Order: sequence, then structure tokens, then C-alpha cells
Amino acid sequence: MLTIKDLKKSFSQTGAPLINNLNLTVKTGESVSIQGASGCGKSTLLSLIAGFETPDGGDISVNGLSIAGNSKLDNTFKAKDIDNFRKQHLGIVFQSFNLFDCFNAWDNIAFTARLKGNVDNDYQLALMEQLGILPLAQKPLSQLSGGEQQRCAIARALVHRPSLILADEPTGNLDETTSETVSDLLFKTCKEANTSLVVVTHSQDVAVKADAALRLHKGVLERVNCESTEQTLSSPIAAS
Amino acid sequence: MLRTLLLTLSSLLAMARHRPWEPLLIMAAIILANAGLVTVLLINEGATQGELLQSKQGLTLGSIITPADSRTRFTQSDYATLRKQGFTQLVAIAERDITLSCNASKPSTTLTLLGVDTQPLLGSAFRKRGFEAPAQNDSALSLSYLSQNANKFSEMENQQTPAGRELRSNSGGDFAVNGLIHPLTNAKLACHDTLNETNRKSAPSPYWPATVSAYVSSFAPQNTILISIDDFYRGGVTIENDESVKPVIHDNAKRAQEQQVKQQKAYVPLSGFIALSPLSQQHLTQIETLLGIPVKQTTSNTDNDTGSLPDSFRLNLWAMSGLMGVVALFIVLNALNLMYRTRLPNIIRLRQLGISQRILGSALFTELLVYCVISIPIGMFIGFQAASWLSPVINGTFTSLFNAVFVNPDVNLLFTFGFALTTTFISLVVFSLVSIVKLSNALTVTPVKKENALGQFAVGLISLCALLLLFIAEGFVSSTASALFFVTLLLLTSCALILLWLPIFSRLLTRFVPRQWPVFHYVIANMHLLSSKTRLAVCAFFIALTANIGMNTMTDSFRDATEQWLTQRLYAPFYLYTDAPLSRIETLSTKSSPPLALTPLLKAEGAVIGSHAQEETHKETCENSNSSPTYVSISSYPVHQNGKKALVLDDVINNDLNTVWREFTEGKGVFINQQLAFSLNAKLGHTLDIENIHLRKTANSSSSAINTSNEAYSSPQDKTTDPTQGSQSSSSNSNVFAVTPQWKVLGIYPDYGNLNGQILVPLPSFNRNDVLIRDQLFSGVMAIYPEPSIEANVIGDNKQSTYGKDILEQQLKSQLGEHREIALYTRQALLDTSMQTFDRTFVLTDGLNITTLLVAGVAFAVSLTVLSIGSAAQLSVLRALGVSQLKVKASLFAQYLLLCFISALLAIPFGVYLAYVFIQQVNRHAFNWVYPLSLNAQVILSSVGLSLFIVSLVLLLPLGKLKPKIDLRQEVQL
Repeated sequence: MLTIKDLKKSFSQTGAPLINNLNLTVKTGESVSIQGASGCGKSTLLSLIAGFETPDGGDISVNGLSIAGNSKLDNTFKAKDIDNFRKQHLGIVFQSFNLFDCFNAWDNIAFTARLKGNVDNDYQLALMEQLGILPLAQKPLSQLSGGEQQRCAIARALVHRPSLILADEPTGNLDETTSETVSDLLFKTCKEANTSLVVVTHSQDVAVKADAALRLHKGVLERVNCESTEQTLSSPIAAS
Repeated sequence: MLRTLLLTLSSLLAMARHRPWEPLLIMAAIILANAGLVTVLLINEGATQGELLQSKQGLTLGSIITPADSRTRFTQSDYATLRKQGFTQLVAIAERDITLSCNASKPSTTLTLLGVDTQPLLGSAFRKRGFEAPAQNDSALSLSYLSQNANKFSEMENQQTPAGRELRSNSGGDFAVNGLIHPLTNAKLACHDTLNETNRKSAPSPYWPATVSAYVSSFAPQNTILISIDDFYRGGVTIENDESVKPVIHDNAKRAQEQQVKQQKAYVPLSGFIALSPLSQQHLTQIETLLGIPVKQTTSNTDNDTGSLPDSFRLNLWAMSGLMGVVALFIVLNALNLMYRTRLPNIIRLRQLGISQRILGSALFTELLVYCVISIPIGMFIGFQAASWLSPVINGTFTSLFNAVFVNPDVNLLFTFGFALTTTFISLVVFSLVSIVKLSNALTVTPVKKENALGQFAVGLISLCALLLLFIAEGFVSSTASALFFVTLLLLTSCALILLWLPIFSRLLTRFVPRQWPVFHYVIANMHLLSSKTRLAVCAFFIALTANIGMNTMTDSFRDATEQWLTQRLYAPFYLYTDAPLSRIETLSTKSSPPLALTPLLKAEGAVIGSHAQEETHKETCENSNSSPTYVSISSYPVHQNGKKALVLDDVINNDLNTVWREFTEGKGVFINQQLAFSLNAKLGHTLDIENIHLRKTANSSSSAINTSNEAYSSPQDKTTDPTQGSQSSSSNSNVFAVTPQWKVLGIYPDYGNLNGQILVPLPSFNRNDVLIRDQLFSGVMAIYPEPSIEANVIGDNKQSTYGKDILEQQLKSQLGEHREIALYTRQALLDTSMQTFDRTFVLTDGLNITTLLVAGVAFAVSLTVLSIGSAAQLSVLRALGVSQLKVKASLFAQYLLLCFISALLAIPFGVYLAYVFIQQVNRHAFNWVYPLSLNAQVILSSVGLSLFIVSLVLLLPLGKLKPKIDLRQEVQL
């Protein structure tokens, strides 16, 4: 479960607030989409959740493990722990896939499981089957299309059974049809794997597929679809 | 158009400013390349100028006449008598040692002060060299005129250092004289501007309080200050020891007293007479009759082969610089390629905005020219500094190996800059043409095509064919140039092969890496891709390492061969080098206790016009032989059992040493060295056709200033190998041999370090009946060892020996007289000296080797650094997936090191083959000798280890600074 409390982050150069007392709770198996204007801080929010950046204030915890909360006061969670946290609990889907061109599809997908040390070939096979990329397993990356590569990236993000998946514009580089297919697969597989999902996207079509569709505006999250949010989110999304 | 060009250029420079490390790397590579180029250029120029100067020793062109007995001296009246009798070609000289110092703390230098009667020189052959007669009324005949003409000499010799230095007496100059000093001597003197007359150790060194204005001219012999003989005998110095001397200045009683003291040792006799043209035996006899004392003639050794710098050394240096140039070129091209790769999107944008290919190409070349113009002067400066820093080492190498000299070269800066700029820019333009044209043609982004990798079978087949062609090409090597060309071919072929094999090795390695180590697996898998991107850097590293292994193996083999050869060859516990006649030394064996055996080294000279198999007729031989005869040294070889044991032979007839030895001792054949065998193409069993056998040049010239220049750099090693310096015998002599041996080649022996042909003839064959001939045959070298009847350990330089070096030296001095020059070396001392000389010789090679390796290491690091910058996106993904920073760095380090390691593994077989080519082809044609290739695992491993160490070191800095930024929007670059 992802819990964000009173998260603050400012532009490093100007000091202007980018994220201002942001609160969010995403339960296990739930999905949230975040929309917003360019430069509003969507990707920064994901970076903060992933531990790529340090917040100016507030707390982020995943499954009760605080990765940013009071980090400046409590030094127990060090860089090594954040690396380990990402390895154990996080799956990331990038806009530009970011697969390793030196590996074939199978090795690319297996990479995170091997890193975590919980290789489960059957699960990987099932995932690939589900995503429709099993026939591509031994193919080099250069022979895969964008949609196929993004499906591989989704499989890589899921194969080590993380608690949370962060997806940054997962369909940004894909055409409409492929985008539809890939986003469906992303939400479906996350649901089946009982993994929480946070998707940052500009696409309304993708956003509405999430359990809750939110918008980041002036540093706080707002509900786009109140009905849906109230149904799925156990705690209110606060903006102060 | 110009506006567009400038705009494009400014865009390119803006890109360079945005990523400054890329142009900086290119400039660093250009600087390195030019530093290497200028260093070698200067070394070669210094060697050439040194050689030129060495061959222009005006005064030493003639011969010198001295009393046969060194205790006797010529006098002024002797000189007058001879000139009156028509010996006008004789010029009186007087000499003494003089010390030059900087100050009390620094070591002083001793030179010879040589006074010459300048009058006869004015009308001699030296006029042809610009030395004209003095003006009328200039009856002083001092060397002032000679000095005034020094500028003229200098101009003629293209020297640019007419003015020399002012040498002042530390006790106050009483009179001023002019003198000449050789350019090499001038170069050697640093701050030695004070004629130090105090603390003299040499006894006959009278007070000579002068201030010498020394002009630089190669007319003067080396290590000598040449002055007029009138000036030489000024200041209280006289030629007559029985004549009272009147001091020049008597200011007061104290001064007069001091002068009086100095007068006690103010007698300096004439040292000898320079004969401006060699005298015949008849003339010498006439002189002996006139003076009543026996005299000898010593000819200067200007035509000695060992005194000149062989072209092969220059070729060697150029080869090394070529290697460095190739490596540097690889760095520049690699950096250029990588820079263009990162610029590709921007270049495409420029093309899309309508900038033509021609403008884009011109702008890229202009940018390159800007980098060249900035980098070359810096490279030149470093090159000048390096050459200056290396000068002492090079000088040591030259003197120890070639008896040649090295001077700090005088070069035209503008010419050097122009040469460096042209060479660098043209090389870059030619080699980067393809990539620049490709870049300027870029308009659309096309995905990187997957290279069609050749199958292992195809690569294997290509490799086999390439190696086969290489072996065939080796058969066509017939000269030093073609041998060096073959070395280039070998390196290029091996480079091509490594480019084919490296991806295969990487792929194979990927298969074996356990998947449970995902980061390591990624590293190895990525290395496969990296190998195709870093091919230029891999080539540079590979060439440097192959050359390094080759050179080190060759040097090590040479060292082994030389050490073994010397160890076996030096059979006696002591070796004596002396100027004493053989007849006097031989009595030592009868007078010594315990009885000693003495074996002299006798030498003669001859000219070999060819060789023929025994069944051939002489006529055929003449037709087949070379038109120019090969001058050889004919040396004696002892026929006793020690001699047999010490004999090192490469090849003997029927491999039957016993039979061959018997035939040799019976005078039925001779042994020849490799040099002669190769130059004549002589085979075992062939018979040499020798003519003009004559007494060789004598070596007893140690007391002569004339020969100081030639002898100054001689080491015992030189004397061991070929002590043939000195003067030519007055006449040809058919009595060299008591029994002329048959010239059948019984065996071929190694003779490392000798550039000339040599024949070993059994010692008893030489004419030892005539005392005069025997003395003239004597080379001055004598082996001293115990008689077979006494125990071997009685004589030697160890603690058990009862007959040590000091005792023997004492006995020799008492036997030969204190005035004789005696240098007694133990076997071990000779061996040590020789090996030290050997090691000194290869210091320069080692230095160049390591530099090349360093340059290659930098090339590798440069390329990998830029690549790692380019692959930052992938590294970021690794970090995003939870791989720690340290692990990423360690993985990269392991990746690059592994790439080097694979290259190094592939370099070993090629390095060994290169060593074989160096020994069997380059040495064979450049020096006329070969030796066995000895493979020493330690040498090879140390080369590989050193190269990996250098790469590790140069990698640490960029890797240490590498901090892959984690960014969700990080994209893989084009």
C-alpha cells in the first residue's frame, strides 16, 4: 500500500513550490492515474515515490516502509536501502521502454527477477503469455515493435512481483490502437497480480481505466471523477 | 556562403562548448601524437647532427707521429730539424689536461688543452675548408686569426653557434687568448666556465693563467680546447726543461716567489707532430734516422663503422614513432567518431534547416583545423621538453651501442610547426573523410542496423587465409625496409583479425556467464555491443600491446642470448687491456708465480671479395661475388681446451663439433661470424676469397689527444667486441700468418654487438716469430688464466683465490712499467659491464614502449569514457531498477577491463610472432645477426599486466566521477 502524507517539493533553482502538502493513499491492487499540465510535477511525484529524488517535507511509505519520511532526520534509510527498496518493491514502466539492447526479450524481462533473486520461469511464461509476447521471447530487441517493447517493459515491471508499479506515460510513444491494447494489458495484469499502480499520463483514455483518476494542479491532487474515487479510495485526497 | 559557413561553424563550436570533454579529448590526442612525433623528430635530428659533427673533425683527419717509447718526448729542436729536412707536413702539438668547473660544489670537467703550431696549417689542406692565410704583418700567428675564422667554419658547416664561451682562470687572467672548441664539447659543458688551476691532481700541469675566448668549430677535436702553441707556452710554461723561465709579470716579491714555485713544474714537452698527410714507412724510417729515436704513426679512426649511427637505428626510431602515430591517430579518430555520434541529431537538424553537405563538411573540417592549430604548439612544446629530458638517456644509448654522439638538435621552429600541422591535418582529413562525409550526408535518423555478423566458420576461414598470406609475405622480406613493412602488415592483419574475433569471444563469454548474476550478465552482454563501437580504441590498444610484447620478448631473447654468449665466451678469470707491446707482456707468464697462461688476442684485417662452394671455380666466384669487397677483422682464437669450451657456435659442418674443432686447430678452416655469413651469403663448407690481408690499425692511442674524441666513449664492452680503433699500419703485410690457414667456413658463430664481419683463425696460424709484427698484431687484449697444472681457484677474484686482482695488477705494473696503461678486468666485471651497457641501451626502447602503451591506454579510456557518457541512459535504468551506484561503477570497470583482457589474450600470439619477425627479419637485415627466440612467461605476463594496470589507472578517474542520474524521462541516445 502506498501512503503519501503532506509531501512537499520545490523547484531547486527558484524555490517555487511544485508539490505542496500532497496526500494520497493507494491500497494494494488499486490503480490511480494522474493527469496534469506539462511541468505541473507529475513525473517529479513519481520520482519522489521511486526515491529518485528527496522531498522537502512530508512522508512517503510503501507497505509501511518509509522511504522519504523524515529522511533528513532519520538516517536509517540510506541510499543503499532505497536501491534495495526499488529492487524489492517497485516496478517501473518508462515512456521510452528503456529495455537493454544487449538482451533478448526473455532476458530483459527476467532481469528484475534475477536482481531480486526470485526467478520464477513459470510466472514469467504466464505473464508473457498474458501480454502476448511469448513468441518473441528469444528475439533481439531490435526486431520488436514499440508496442511489443512496451509489453516487455510491463512484464519486466511485474515479473519480480513488486508491491507498486509506477508508469510514466506508458503509452506516450505508441499509436492509438497499440496504446489501447497496452494500457488495457497494464491495468489488467496489475489487477490480476494484485499490485498497486500509479500511472502518469496525458491520455484521457488511459486515465479513465484507473480505479481513480486524479489531476495534479498547483501542487495538489484533485479528483477528476469523484464517483469513481469515492468508490475505490479509502481515504480522501487532500489538498491544502 | 561564407555567412552560412560561419553560422554552421559557430553552431558546431556551440555543440563543442556544450559537451567540452569531447573536443578536449580530441585535442589531448592530437597533443599526444604531436608530442611523440616531435620527440622522435628531434631525436633523429640530434642523432643526424651529432653524426655530422662527428664526421667533421678537421684536425683529426691526419695522422700523428709520436715516439715509439712513451717515456721519450720530442723537443722544439726535433721539430725544427724535421721541418728543415722537408717534413713540412708535420705540425707540432703540445697537450696537457685542464680542469673546468662551475663552482666548488659542482663536479668539474677535464679537457685537453691542445696547442698547435698554426703556421704550417695556414698553407695546408685546411685552407680548402676556409682557413685562409692571415693578413700581412700578422706575424704573431696566434690562434686569434683561427678564431676569427671560426665563424666562417661554422657557416660552412651549417652550424648556428659561432660564438662559444669565455673561459676565465679562477686565479685571475694574466693574458687573453683565443681558442676553438668542438660543438659537441661545447654542448657538454654546462656552466663550466672557469679554468680551475687549484686542487690539481695531475703532476705536470703548470700554471696557465689565461682567459680563453673559445669559439665553436668542428675544426677542433672533441674534449679539447684548441689554441695556438704560442699561447700554450705563455704564462710561465716552457718547452725546454733546462732553460730558465721568465715569468711574464713580476709585480712583487710574493708573486715572483709563487711563479718560481710554478716554474718547477712548468716543463711541458711537445706531445707529437700531426702529419697532415699520412707518412710512408720510408718517411718514418727517415724521421727515426734524423731524430735518433724510434717513432710510430697513429691514424685517426674516422672511417670506423662503429663510430657512425646506422640507418637501422633511425629506421627503428621512425618505426616506433610511426607506431605511436598510428596509436594516436586511432585515439583522435575514435574521439572524432564518438563526438560525431553524439552530435548526429543536431547535425541532422542543421541539414533539415537547409545547410548543404559541402558547407557542413567544410565547417567540420574547419573545426578540426581549429583543434589542430590549438593543440599542435602544445604538443610541440611537450615534445621539445621530452626530447630535452630524454637527451642524457639517448646519449648513453648512442655512445654505448654505436659509439655515436647525440647533440641537442638545432631545428627551425616554424618548419617543425608546419610539418606537424600538415602531417596531423592531412592524416586526420584522410582518415576522418569517411565519417565526416557520412555525417554531412545525414538527413534522417535511421535506426542502427544490425550488423551482419560473420559466422565462426567464416571468421576462422578468413583468419587462416590471412595468416597464410602473412607467412607467404614473410618469405619476400629481403631488406630492413621490407622487414619493417612486413611488421606494419603483421600489425594491420592482426588488427583486422581481432576485430573479427572479439565479438565472437564476447558472444561466447556471454553464454557462459551465469544468469543468476544479472548485472554481470548485462556487463558481458553489453561488452559484445561495445566491442563493435570501440573497435578503433581496441585496435590502438591491441597494436600497442602487441608491439610491447614483441619488443620485450625480443629484448629479453637478446639479453638471454648475449648473457649466455658472454658467459661462455669469457673463459679466463682475468682480461688485460693495455697499450704495452705483446713481447713485454708475454714474459709475465714465465716470471709469475704461480705460473699463468696468457692468450693474446691478435688481429689483422682483410677484404673478402666473396665465397664459393669448394667445387666451384674461382672464376665463377668472382662473377657471383659482390663488386665491393667486405672488410673484415681477422681475429685469433686459442686452440686450447678452454678455448674449445668457450666457443659458441650457431652452426657447424655436419653438427660434428669435435671434427670441426680438430680441423680448425690444424688450420684447415676458420669460423666466421653471422654478420659476415649473412652479408656474403656464405654457407658452411664454402671457401672465402680474401685479399689484401694486412696488419690492422693499432690501438695504442690512449696518450694522444687526437684520439680522445674517438676513445672517449669506449667502454670495455666495445673493446671486447671489436677493439679495432687506432691507426693504420704503415704498410700492407704479407707476413701476418706463419702458416696461412685455409679459408673454409667450418662454423658460424654469434657475435652480438659487432656491426662488422669477423673471421676467427687459430692463434698458432699468426706470425709470432717477428717481434715487430707480433706487437702490431696484438690488439691490446690478453686473457690471463692459470696453467692447466695448477688449480683453477688459485687465480681469481674470489676470497679463496691466492692470486687476486690486486696482486696481479701490481705484478703487471712492475713488469710493464708504471707509465703503461693497464686495465685489468675480472671475468665477472666484464660480464657486468657488458650487461649494464646492454641494459642502458634498451632504456630508450623501454621508455618508448611504455609511452606507447600509455597512449593506447589513454585511447581506450577516452573511447570508453565517451561511450559510458553515451550509455548513461542504460546506466540510469540499472540504477532505477535498484542497482547501486558502486555496483554500476564496478560493473563498468569490469566490463572495460575484460574487453582489454580479451584484447590482451589475442595480442599474446601476435606479440610472440612479432618478436620472431623482429629477430629473424628486422635484426637479420638491419644488424646482420639473429638469435634464438626465448619465450619467457614472466616477460609476456608483465607486459599484459602492465597494460591492464595502465588501463585500470586511466579508467579510475572517469569512472570515479561517473554519477548516472536517475531520470524517468531518460532516453537512449541515437
